[in-house]
Amino acid sequence: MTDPARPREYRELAVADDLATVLRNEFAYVWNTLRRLGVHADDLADEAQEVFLTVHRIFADYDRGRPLRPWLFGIAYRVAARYRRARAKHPLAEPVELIDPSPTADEALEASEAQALVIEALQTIDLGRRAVFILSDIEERTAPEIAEALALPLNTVYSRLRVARAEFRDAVTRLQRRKGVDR
Amino acid sequence: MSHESRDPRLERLLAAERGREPPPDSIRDAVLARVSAIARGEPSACAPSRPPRAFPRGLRAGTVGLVAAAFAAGAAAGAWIRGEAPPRIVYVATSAPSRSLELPAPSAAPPRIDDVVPKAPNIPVRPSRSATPILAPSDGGVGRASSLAAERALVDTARIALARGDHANALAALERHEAEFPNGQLAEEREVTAVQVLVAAGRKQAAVERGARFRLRHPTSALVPVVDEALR
Repeated sequence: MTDPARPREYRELAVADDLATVLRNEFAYVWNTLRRLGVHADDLADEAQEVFLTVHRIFADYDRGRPLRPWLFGIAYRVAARYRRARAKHPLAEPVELIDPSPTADEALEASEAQALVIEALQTIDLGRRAVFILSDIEERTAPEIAEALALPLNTVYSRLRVARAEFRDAVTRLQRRKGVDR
Repeated sequence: MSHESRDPRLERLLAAERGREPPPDSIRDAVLARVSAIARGEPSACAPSRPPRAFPRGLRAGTVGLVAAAFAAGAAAGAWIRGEAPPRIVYVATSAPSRSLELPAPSAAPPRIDDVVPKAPNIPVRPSRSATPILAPSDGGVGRASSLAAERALVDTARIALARGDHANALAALERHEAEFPNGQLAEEREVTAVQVLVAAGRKQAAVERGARFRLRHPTSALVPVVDEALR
């Protein structure tokens, strides 16, 4: 099992304990991030598994001085990109969002509809720009954080965001018009 | 990042998306147990979580509805109905006695990561995209697969009963699992569910004892935090 060609080691035992916490506490974050990045609802469990296997593999290299979620987002982004390439050959049908039909749950229904609309609109944006948009406008990260998470120059972050915002706005307008929503 | 005069209509949508529900704990626990099993190097854990498609995708909504309906009384149902999580519980084939997340021991030299996560091709890292069907009898495991299916049915029954607040039936299913599969592939999941049921039933002392037993048997399990939270 030990391979001298792969000298990476856990630096300290404490890493192990932290890893269990990360896996558990950040599951929902990774799950929702993958969904926003375009992973089909039916494939979320498999892709979340991919993310956490990667986390498990490289967690010793994670710099504790930096925020965790942008680091996780970077991993999820790469997994989603690979997924997208694989799925291009075998596309899955949409829509995939399930909406609570309960007439008593008006508020929840409204939230579900809004979320479904956001997910649908996000899918119209190129993945690279979408990642920047998600980090900025949904997660409310700063541009330097986004640049670091996605290994992009700061200027690229700004330019992608500008385009992505316009694309998102147009997509929402188009989708709402199609669904006859006037909000 | 600044939102130069954001359209309030878009802001409402994005705020709703920020409040997206997390997936049910059962899915989280199952996926993490699966990660743990793959990290241990158990090939049987590498089967994709998604079963082969037995019917056209268009019919899936009906299936979703049926499964969700079974959980309608539980908290998990709300999340499933509102969210996008697939109503599928992923189970992990683990060896007995099972140990999760084989993380390094404090003694001697620090273990290599390869001790924790075996390299491909022994352990396919992307089982979800392989052609391997779920519960693939790759090692002559037809019996193993059917045994896992039987285990899954029992643990499923317990979880459904727990979601409904039917603690007696939940415990009955778990006891049956323990009797039939004392060191089964889902032994860890059984024990964690048992702790959750005991807590829900107000049997705190029994839950604490069972949780302590779980910690003793599976000190490095990825499910230990789940037990801790149940007992909190």
